Amino acid sequence: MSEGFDDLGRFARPAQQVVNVLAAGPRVPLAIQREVGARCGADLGPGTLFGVIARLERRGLVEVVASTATPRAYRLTALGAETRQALRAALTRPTRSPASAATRSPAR
Amino acid sequence: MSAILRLYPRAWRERYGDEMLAMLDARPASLSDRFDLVRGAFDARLHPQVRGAATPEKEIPVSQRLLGSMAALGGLVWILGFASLFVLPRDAYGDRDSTVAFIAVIFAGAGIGIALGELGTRGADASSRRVGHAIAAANIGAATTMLFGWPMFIIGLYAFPIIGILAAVRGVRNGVFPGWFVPAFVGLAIATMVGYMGSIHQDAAIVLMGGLGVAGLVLGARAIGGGPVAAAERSLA
Repeated sequence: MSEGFDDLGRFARPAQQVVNVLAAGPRVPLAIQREVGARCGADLGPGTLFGVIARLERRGLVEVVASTATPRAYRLTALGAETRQALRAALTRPTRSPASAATRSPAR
Repeated sequence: MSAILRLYPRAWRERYGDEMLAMLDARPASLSDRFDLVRGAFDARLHPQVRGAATPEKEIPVSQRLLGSMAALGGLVWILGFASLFVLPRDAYGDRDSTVAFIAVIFAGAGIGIALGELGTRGADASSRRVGHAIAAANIGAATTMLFGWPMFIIGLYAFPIIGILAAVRGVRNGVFPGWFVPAFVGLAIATMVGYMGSIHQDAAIVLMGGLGVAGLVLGARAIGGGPVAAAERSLA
């Protein structure tokens, strides 16, 4: 997951949003949808939401909370939390600008 | 709404179907939600994420769904064609207008026949599949014959149920159609031919003749929904 969710194509951004919501604790799908809408202003359709959940679940980033209650709630796994941390760290890490990189490169 | 969810692969529906329905019960789907669900269904089929959904095409192949749709559409057209005899205004002599029924029988008979022949030999050996192709071709021939008018029309009209019975028997022998399909189809085919003969009350004859359309609808629905035809396909996989 070093590239984050880039390999998820159109699901990459919603996946990031869902992971951020689940970082606050387990949520049922409807709550995830509402919270993503409230936080990001993004209207996550049901087809997209469950497409994201299926992808995250398959990658072991989220899991169903063991319970007989319906609807089922989802939470981040340890791997999911690590992935989120790694993505946040990558976003906040200072990067060398192309201009400064060019001045340090030997002229050819 | 559950109709849209049926677009998703079976394994997907088993895993997420209840949750999706619960969510849609809590928040009724808007038009964009419906579009999103349809888009999600295509995605779920193109990029299966749920174990067991990786082989949806083997469960219900596209060709089977197309043939099932052809049979179901043919059955519907056949029924509507005969129903038109009751609906359309009679001519000056009090005779029924049979133009729509005439055209419906030609196209619907060919459609049901092709589907019956091809579906009845799916998953069978090569020689049996050749018989299925021959049955489909014979139905196209019967439909073409009917275009030449009287008396060729009558030959084609009787050919449909007779070829259909052969296809139904072949399908049951191959284990593709359920056992009850032969007696049901034979009953409907005989009823249709009795209707053709005009030896009973005209209204009853029309209803009987519409019976074969029901067979087409049932066959089509089973093929689309993954009935025994699908089981035969799975055994090949």
